[in-house]
Amino acid sequence: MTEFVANRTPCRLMRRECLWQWGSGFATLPLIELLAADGCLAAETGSKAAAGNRSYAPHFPARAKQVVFFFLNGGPSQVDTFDHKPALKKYAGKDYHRKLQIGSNGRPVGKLAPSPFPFRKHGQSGLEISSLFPQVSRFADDLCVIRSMYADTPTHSPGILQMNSGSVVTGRPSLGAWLSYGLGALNDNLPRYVVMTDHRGGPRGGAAAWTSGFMPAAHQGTLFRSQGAPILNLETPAGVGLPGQRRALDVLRQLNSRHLQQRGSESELTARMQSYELAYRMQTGAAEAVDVEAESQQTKDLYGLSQKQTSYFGRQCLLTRRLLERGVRYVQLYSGGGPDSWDAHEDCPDNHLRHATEIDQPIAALIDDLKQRGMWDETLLIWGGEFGRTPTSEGVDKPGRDHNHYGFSMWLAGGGVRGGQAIGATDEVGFKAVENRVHVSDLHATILHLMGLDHELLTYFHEGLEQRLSGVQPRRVLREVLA
Amino acid sequence: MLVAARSTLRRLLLTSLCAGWAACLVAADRPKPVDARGKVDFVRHIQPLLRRHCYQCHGHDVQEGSLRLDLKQRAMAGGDHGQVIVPGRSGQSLLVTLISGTGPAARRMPPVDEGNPLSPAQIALVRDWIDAGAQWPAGVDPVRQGNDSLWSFAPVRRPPVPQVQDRGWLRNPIDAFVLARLESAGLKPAPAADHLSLIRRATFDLHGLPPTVEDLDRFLAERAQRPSRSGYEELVDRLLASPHYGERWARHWLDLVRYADSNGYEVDGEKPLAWKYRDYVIRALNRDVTYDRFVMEQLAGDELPDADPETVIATGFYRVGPWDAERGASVQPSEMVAEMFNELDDMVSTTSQVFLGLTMGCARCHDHKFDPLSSKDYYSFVAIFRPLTRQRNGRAELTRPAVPPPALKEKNAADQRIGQLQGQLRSLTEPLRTGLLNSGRSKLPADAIAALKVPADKRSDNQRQLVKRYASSFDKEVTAALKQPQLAEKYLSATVRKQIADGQSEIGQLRGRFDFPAGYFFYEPSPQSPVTHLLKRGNPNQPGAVVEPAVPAAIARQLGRSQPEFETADAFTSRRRISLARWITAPDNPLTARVFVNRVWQYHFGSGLVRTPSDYGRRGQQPTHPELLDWLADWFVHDAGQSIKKLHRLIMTSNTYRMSKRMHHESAAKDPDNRLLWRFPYRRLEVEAIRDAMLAVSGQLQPTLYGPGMYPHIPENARRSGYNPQSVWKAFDERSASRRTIYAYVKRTLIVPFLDTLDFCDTTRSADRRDSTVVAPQALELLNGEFVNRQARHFAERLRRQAARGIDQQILLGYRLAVGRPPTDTEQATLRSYWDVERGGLMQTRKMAEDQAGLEATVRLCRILLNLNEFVYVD
Repeated sequence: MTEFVANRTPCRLMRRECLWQWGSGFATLPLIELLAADGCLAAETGSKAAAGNRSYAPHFPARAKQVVFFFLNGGPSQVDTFDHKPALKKYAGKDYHRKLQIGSNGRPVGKLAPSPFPFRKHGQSGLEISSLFPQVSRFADDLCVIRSMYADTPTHSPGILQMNSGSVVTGRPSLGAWLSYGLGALNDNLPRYVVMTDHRGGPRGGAAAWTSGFMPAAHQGTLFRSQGAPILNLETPAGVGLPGQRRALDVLRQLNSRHLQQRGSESELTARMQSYELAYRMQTGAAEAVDVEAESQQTKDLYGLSQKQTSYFGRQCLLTRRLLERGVRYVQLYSGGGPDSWDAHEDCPDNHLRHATEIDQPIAALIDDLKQRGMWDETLLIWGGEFGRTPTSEGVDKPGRDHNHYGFSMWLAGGGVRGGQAIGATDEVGFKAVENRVHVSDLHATILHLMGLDHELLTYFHEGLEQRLSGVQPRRVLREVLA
Repeated sequence: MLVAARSTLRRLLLTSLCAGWAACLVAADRPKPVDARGKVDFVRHIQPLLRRHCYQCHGHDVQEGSLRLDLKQRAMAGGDHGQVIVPGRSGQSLLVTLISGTGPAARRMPPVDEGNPLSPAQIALVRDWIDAGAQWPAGVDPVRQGNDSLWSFAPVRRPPVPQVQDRGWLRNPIDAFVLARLESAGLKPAPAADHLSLIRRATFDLHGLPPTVEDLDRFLAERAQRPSRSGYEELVDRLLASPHYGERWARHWLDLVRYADSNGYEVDGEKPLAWKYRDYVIRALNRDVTYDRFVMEQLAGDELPDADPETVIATGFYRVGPWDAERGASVQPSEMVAEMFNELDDMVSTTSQVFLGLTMGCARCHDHKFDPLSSKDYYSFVAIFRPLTRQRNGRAELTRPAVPPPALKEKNAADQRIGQLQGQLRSLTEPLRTGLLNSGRSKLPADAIAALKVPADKRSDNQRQLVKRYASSFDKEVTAALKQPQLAEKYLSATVRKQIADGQSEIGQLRGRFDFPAGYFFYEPSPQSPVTHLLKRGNPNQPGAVVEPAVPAAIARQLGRSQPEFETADAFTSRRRISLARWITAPDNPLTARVFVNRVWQYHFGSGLVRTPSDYGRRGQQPTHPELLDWLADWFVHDAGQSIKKLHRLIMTSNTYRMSKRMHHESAAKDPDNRLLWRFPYRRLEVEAIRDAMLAVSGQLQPTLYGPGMYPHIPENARRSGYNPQSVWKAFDERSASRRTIYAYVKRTLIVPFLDTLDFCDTTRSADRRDSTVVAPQALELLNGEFVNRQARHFAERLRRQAARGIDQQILLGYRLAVGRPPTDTEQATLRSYWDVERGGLMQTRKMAEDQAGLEATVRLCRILLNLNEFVYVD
């Protein structure tokens, strides 16, 4: 009975998993408490070991150890960015005649519309990129564009959830939570998983996009403030100082532990205790980590801090570099939010030009910077939104594009990624992925692989199942992405 | 290779074991599995496979080979090649042949370039399913446009209260519904919570505040004296009767209606007097205005037969949403129109979500992708709100007198009469005016006097400026002179003086009669409604057919009748909103009561019976207890007369509500998400309750009800925001900032960091549920933030005042204030020794006097108490 759970990750057996497997008996509880004391069963018990001191071993040597995900909230158009479709010029103003109806959920939408943004071949590889990203284009030979992405839904909220958690419904852990759970921390003094939303607002569904779902709450993303100081209150109160803070926290922990003990395991109570320990450690290093002002003017200019359009995203990219340097595992940056996202139904050229301008220089600066600092090979960059957009236009005077989950583009770059290539393809007009189709969960499997994790082995026991980020369907690692 | 093989083997073992377990669980309330592998369930096992691998070419959009596999009838009928599923005979079923690729070469489905093949295990599942009879239950097919059936559209029917085994556990019908589900799943309800937990739970739940020590003592003493009576019902009644109830529950409603005091977007200008709407909600809840009336007042408070200023202010519901002033007040007509439709969308989305649980906003550019809501339905709703107009001057928002339209007409007439009278008064006082100017009695500057003497049409530009500037000062002088008999008599005859007095008195009377408070709400400038077109793809430049006000056709059809009657305009308004409000509040509306009782349930239990409280469509979740939901909805409308307080009372006096939160591992293993309610769920307090509890415990809470927003402290480094970063936030005033959090000014682009960090809601759209994240910035806020440290100091001073016998007594009182119970001996000792160390340290290193060091140490101790898990997780 217990044989099959003599598991690939015995030490990550969770309390309820044990109970489940050992016959749901309360007789086993004391044993579990003992294991907990040993730092086993860690993530749920709240010991310091669990909070992050233990570096969890990857399944095989990792290609990258940190991730930056540029999330283009609302869905960027592939045919205006990384998927050049000259045929659209030919078919401009014509209907699309294939078996699938164009437009979200199969409703007919508009006439085919070419991109107003010219494409050009870049780098040695000749990768085609539109004029929306002149700066990022400098690194064409580093980008691996996947032109054959597809997702399961044409709706924002579930789409954002799927891109983050593999599932269109709420309650499942996000990619960052899986990495936190699977790989642990590189630096115990900062959150493992940091999220920064656009200053105009967060993605639809809010914190569900960086939740830990059914995992212990400690794996959830930590949201940094999008304006002003990213983290507030890093200074201890006047006269208290760090030693005084430590004494107070020790007492708090004792009292909270008793409280927890009397109530049995509660993931949230444990996570809250851990959050105080992390908060304590952040007091020593986080202020310095988030102090973008410490950077030279030259660096700030490089990231575009001195120009209004690029200043917000530039600051976040620069902050990202500082966080990566200090060992944050996963940083997710949202471009677009609130009332002004990439959701360009009305005027795609205007919308995309504005948003692309905001992020192009900052992303290029981050790439440059990571390379100069020797961090490039260990950092995985992911670029994309919850889906793409249709090659047809909704409007007449100002071409707007509808949601399209049948085919869209994303790119990967950095650690372990073979750059200068585009894999997969959409059909002639860029609507549907037809060649080497890549499901969102295939992408997740590939990301985990680059991080040294086998998507089939990285599991978490919940509701009687070994849950996986890549879900229950067979998924594949995209070998052609790997360097 | 070997590793891979082994892991595959494990996975298979695991799959079968899990399937076995699942089968055991299912077995509890189902007939025996058909074979040892367990019954293959269509919805759980087969439908997902079909969806993933087949629908793309054999589904709603496309039916290759005339085969459609998403609908039972079509799938069973087969396609061009005949039947594909032969129930009981997998060997003869073309479906199995095709997916396993055993048929003619290159005929595997899905085709190689169209998708991944099914795994052997999946093929086996399909085979088993067919062999077991290909059971395809009714009602599980995906339903799209044209199909109206949605569980939530069906009329509410009160189900019978179910029979249960453990009848002794039942206190009211709620318990029977909950227990029946638990029993059939082999689960037991948690034991009852103890008295202390219960009074704390109920008080936080209804007031968002902890019970006072006196309340606790009284309640616990009564229980000790009269153990036979719980006294709990009386407690609930007492709590419901307090105005703190409205302050707590109004906040839930404000979340839903996306309330804020500013407009958001770049300009983020002020919504003047928006707080009057907030106060209306508090007052209405405290008065136990019935829910149907509450809805009517907010949707059409100006159109009610008994409209009054309060009901007019209630319609502020429409106006408290975000507004992009830059576009809305743009000189470009296209921008203005675009923003107008955004505002209308905000109204349609909020109204449909809040009251009906429908995501109608999705149908703005196209028919709803999942629910039977068309674009026509959307624009028919738009037509209802289309007459509403914003009173503004450019980007600046203006208030209006809160007058029901008929009274407004009278008021306007009165205003006209006042203007007329003022004109008369002016001519009548002319001799006095001239006298004042000529006699040197006027205190105005000489050049102003000179300018006033010149006839209006002869003044130079400069003189006109002067007259403009000093006109009102001069009027004041004239008014003052009228009151001085010797002056008045000198220049005015007795008759004229009498005429003036009469005029003044009439003005005074008119003003008194039509002295309405100002408020913040939209108004209909005329009973003639602008024409509303269906906009193709949501584009204002592509108007389609003209639409009339209507409610979603699918619901109307489901109820077996046509559209409700939309009244025709009267002399004042279009009467469209009141028609909608009547339909929403009609007792047979299938959604309204279901949606509302579920919300109340959710705010009590943390999760609703429907866990997507604003989406009762297909993307929403099915209710965990559908019969209970319907029973409650029906009871609420027919037995409780839509009294919200009665609903609270019913829920809170159930045994379901009185369960403890105790963990039970066996139950948790079976139902980790506590969907069946085997215990009272754990959930952190919302930020308002945390902040208010801290103020209550520190003794600083200001009990003042209502009024303009207050401004909690915002640290300098967080104050970067919006249009005018320097002047966005008023100076900190501790007394007013110590009011309850619901009175905090909500500025959309600058949410108070304390609130923001602790999961305040999104204010840009209707928020039906608070997040409950647990992250380090929260700990930093509560350890190091200005607010908590300020309250810790007040708390310590309070303990000193109220527990003069020394630190041990202070710890005892502090614990009781913070978490309701006295500390255990260990806790007491832990805190005492901490205090000794801190005090000693302060005396030694800081050279503090003993007394002062003692106080400082108590402040530190209080900071710990405010940070306890037990403080924010109430049992």
